[in-house]
Amino acid sequence: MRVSYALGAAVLCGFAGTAAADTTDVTWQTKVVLEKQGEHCVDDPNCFNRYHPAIPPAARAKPGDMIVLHTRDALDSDLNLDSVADDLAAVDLNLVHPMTGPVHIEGAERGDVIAVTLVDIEPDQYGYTVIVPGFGFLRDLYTEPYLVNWKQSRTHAVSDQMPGVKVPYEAFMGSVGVLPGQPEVESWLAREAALGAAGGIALPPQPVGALPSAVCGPEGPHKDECLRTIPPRENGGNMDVQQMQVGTTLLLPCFVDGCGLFAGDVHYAQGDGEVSGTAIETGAVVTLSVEIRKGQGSVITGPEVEGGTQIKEIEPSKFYQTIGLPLKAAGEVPPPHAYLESEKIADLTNLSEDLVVAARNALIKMIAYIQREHGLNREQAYILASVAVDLRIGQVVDVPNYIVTAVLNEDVFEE
Amino acid sequence: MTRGDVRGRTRRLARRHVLRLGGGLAAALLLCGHTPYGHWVVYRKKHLLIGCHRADPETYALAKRVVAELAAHLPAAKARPARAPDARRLASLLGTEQMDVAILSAGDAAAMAGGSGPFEPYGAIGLRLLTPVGDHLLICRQDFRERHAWLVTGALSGTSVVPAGETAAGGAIPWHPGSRAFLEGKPEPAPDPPPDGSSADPD
Repeated sequence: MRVSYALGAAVLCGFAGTAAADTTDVTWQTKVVLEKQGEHCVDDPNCFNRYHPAIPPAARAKPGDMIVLHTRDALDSDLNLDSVADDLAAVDLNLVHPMTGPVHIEGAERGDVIAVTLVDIEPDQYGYTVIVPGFGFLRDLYTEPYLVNWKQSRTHAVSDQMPGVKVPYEAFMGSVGVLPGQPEVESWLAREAALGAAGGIALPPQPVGALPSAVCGPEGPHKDECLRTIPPRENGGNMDVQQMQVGTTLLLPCFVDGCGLFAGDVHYAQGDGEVSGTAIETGAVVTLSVEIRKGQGSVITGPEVEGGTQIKEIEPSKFYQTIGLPLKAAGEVPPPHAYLESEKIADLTNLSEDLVVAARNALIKMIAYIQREHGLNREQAYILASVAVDLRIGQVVDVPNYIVTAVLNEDVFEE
Repeated sequence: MTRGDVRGRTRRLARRHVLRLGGGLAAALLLCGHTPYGHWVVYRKKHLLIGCHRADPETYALAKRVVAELAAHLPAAKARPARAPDARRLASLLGTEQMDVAILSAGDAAAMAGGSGPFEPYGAIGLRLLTPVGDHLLICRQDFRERHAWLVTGALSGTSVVPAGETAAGGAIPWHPGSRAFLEGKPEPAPDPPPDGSSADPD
C-alpha cells in the first residue's frame, strides 16, 4: 500500500512537471497561413479583388501542405449585428469580391490540374444576407434594399430578423479558383465585350477600387485587363455551388505556373440558386490541401468536383416543393430574356424549353408558400429562399414545358 | 418674392417633378449599361441618397430628419439615408460618382474637399454646400445639378433641421450655385436638355 501511494505521488509530480506533454505537441502538418492584415482588403497584402496573371503570389505552398486562408466577406463590408438596410446603399461595389491569396503551388505548371480538397471552414460569428437592388433572380420584383443579420456557430445560424428560423451550418467557399493566364485574359475579355455589345450582361474592368492597385488600379499597368470577380469562369471564381462542402475535392486547370490558388466569399449556407443574390455571407478561416495532377489540363478544362456523402448530408429530412412551368403573362419580358429577341417572346404566354422562366415561376410560388404557411413577409421569404431553397431541374424532355422545382428545406423551421 | 412664396412654389414644382423624374429614370435605364449592377445605378439615381456615417452618429440622425423633410416637401426626390462605416467610405463614394449628397461635420467636409488628413488617398473632391443641417453641413458633389440643388435647398429651407437665418455668405465649403440662387430668391433653373435628343427629362 505504501508503495502504491509513493508511485501515485511520483506520477502526479511527473504530470505537474510536464503539463504540456500531451498530443497537442505532436505535429506533422506543414501549414501555410495567410492571415488577414488590416481592416479591409485595401490594407492587406494577402488580399486582392481582380484576376490577372501579373498579380504576385502572397505565399508559396508544396503539395500536401495545409493551406490556411483567413478570408473576408463578399462585400469587404463593415456590416455587423446592428446594421440596417440604410447601410447597404453605402456599400462600395467596386470592392467586390476580396480574395485571399494567391498561393503559388510549387511544381504546378500551366497545363496541369490541381486537386483542392476543402479540409475545414471555421466561420466568423456574424453573417448577413441582403437584397441588393438590381441584383438577384427576381430583381424586377424586389427593388428596395433589405438586410438580415445572422448569429452563427458551428451548428446553426439564427437571426432576430428571421424569427423561428434556424439554418444549419453547411459552409463552402463561394469563390475559389486560380489565376488566368494571359491568353485566357484576352479571350475572356473579348467574349464578354462581345456579349455586352449584344446587350447581354458584362462587367468590364474597373480600375477604381481594384486591388492590388499596383497591378489593377487606376495607375496600374494592367488596369484595362484585370477581370472582375462576379462571373465564374474556367478558372473557377465565384461559382457559388453549395455541394462543394468540407471533404470534397475541386479540380482546377492551371493557366499559369504555380497556379495562383485563391479563395474567399465563404457562404455559411445557401440554397441552389442563391436567388436573392446573396447567401449567408461571412468571413472565415478556410483550410485546404492541394495535390497536382500533371498534364490533366487537357481534359479538365474547367472546374469539376469529386465528392462523397456530402451531397446527401446537406439534404433536408422534410421538404416542400413547388413546380415551375415556362409560362408567363402576355407582354411580359423577364429580365434574363431582355437582351435577345424579346420582341418575339413578349406576347407569348408559353415559352418553349425555357428553364429560366420555369425556375422563376417555381420560386415565386415558393415565396408565396413561405409567406402563407410560415408567416414571413415577402422580403424575409425571398431571403429564406436564398439560403434554404434549392432550384432543381425536374425534366428537360417534355416539350415545350421543361420543369424546374423549388425545394424548401423545412428543417429550418424550429418546432 | 418671400421665402414662403418660394417654398410654396417649390412644393408645387415638386409634384411636377415626379413626372420628370419618371422620365429621368427611363433615361437612366437606357444609360446604365448591362452590368449586374445596372439597377443599383438606377436605384442610386431613382433615390436621392443622403450619405452619413457610423463614426459620427449625429450624421445618421440628421440624415433621417432630412429624409423626413424631403419626403414631406420634395417627395419626388425619394430620399433615403445611406450610412457608411466612416467618412472615408463617403469620400470614396462621392469621389467615384457613386453618391452625390452627404452630411458631414464642417471639419470633415473641409478635409475631404482638400484631400487632406484621412482623405488624402481619395484626393481633393469638389464639394459644394446645399445647406447647414443641425451643426453639420449637407454637401454635394460640385457637378450636382443646379436645379436639383435649388429644389433640395428650397425644400429644406425653413424646416426645423436647418438652422434659422441661413444666408448665402461664404464659408469653408462654397455654396452650390443652385442653392445660392434659391437663397437669393432667384427662379428655379431650367432642366438640362436630354442627352440623346429624346423627350425624356434627363433628371
